Amino acid sequence: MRDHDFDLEPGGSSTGDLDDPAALARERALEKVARLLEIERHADAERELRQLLAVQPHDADVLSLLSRVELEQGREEEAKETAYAALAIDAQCVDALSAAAEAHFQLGENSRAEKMLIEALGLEPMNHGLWLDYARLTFKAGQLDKAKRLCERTLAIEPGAMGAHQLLSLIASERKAHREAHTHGDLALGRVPDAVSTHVVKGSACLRSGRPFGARRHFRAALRIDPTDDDVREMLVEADRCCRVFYLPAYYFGLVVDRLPGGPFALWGAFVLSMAVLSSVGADPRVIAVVVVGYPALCVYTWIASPITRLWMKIVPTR
Amino acid sequence: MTPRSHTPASSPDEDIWDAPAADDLLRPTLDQRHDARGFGKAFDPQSLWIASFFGGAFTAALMFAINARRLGRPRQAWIVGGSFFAAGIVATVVVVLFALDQGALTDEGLGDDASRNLRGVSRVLGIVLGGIGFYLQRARFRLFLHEGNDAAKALLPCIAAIAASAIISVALVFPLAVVIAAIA
Repeated sequence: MRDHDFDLEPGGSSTGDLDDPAALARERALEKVARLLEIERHADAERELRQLLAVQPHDADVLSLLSRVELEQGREEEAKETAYAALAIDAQCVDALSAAAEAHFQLGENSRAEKMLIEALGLEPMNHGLWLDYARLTFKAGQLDKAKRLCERTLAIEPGAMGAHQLLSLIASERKAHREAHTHGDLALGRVPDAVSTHVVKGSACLRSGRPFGARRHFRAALRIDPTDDDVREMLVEADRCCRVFYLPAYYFGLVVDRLPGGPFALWGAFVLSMAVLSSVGADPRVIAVVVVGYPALCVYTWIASPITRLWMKIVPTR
Repeated sequence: MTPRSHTPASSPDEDIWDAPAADDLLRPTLDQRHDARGFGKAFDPQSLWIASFFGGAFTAALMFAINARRLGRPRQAWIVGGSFFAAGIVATVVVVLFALDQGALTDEGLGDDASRNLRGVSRVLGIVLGGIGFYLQRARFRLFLHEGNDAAKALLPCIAAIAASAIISVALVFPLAVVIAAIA
């Protein structure tokens, strides 16, 4: 649901006293795991965690962390099983509930993810990260009202939660409340100007509100921060396509049509209706001719604008 | 991993909302319909409008059923698709009966006026059913897109559904007209 910072604080069920050599060894191992995760050496981190589990197989916190590491490596089914193993040891382990929710989320099992998050929030109602996870889940499931309220709850607990502003921007964009989308995008950008996600959210808001050049600028900024992000590169190409002269009218036309109930079909209905009205009132044949030629010409242009621009972008690629 | 909050239970911050048990935000609102599973190559349900306009109720039924299966809703495909199909049959029977009442049945089947009526009814019904289908599949298609899937092209299913519904219409209308004429 989000980029996770791994919580390696001592305080798990089997941590015990740090004077205890076993507990001390556990803390050192977890510190090493944290360093490995920071440099994204997930396989090595997993090996360390498995060694820890070989000594203490009933450590719910370590199992929860292992579940997260498995998720990072795209092994959702295994991660789910590991999180459930942690919950079998400690049913009230919030980290395990959260990891199980994340695994369900990534597997598309949204209803079960919600159940896990609600359980976790019942245990830790002041955990803003869990509220934000729940907001993201409901946003994905299409419950925008609830997602918005959950974001507001997140901000009530942690006013600096950048993710909540980002999500509020996406919600507003989807509702075509572009001013609100830009406000939240700017707030997130003001707080964390050097994060890829803030530029991506702001760029998306720009692209949806008819500012393709602004969108391109933000996607470029995001790519400067992380040049390896292929998703952002795709977004930059998309924004750049909208900025090309031949495609620009089609882009704005698309924004207008999107606002019509029924989309292109409504436009087509308007064409049929106007033809019927013009014919019945005996309008000037030149006016009828303009409508007859204009609508198909518009259709043909919108059909060919995208492939021709793509071809053009192969000759002059996005920079 | 979610950051832990160590706010004491007695913190005044907790007064900003109700106790967790009474918090309506903690009431589950997602069920299995919201699970993002069973997706295939779904197309944009907006295509239902145009296809149904040209092909009528049978096209709406076929297109809806095809897309519902691709959106991981096979049961809905049968129930709603079947209902659309039934609506198409009822509309055809009504038009044929109306033609009989108006004396528009000829030895070769429906007369010109009755055929025009049938096309008109078919288009209006197609638009209505296409709209219903779009409304029913809209949310599921959004989830499909949010899972990172790309919408498939609807052109081939559209053409296939329109061709199939033309065959169904012919297979249904002419025998129906002959049977009713024979009875009359």
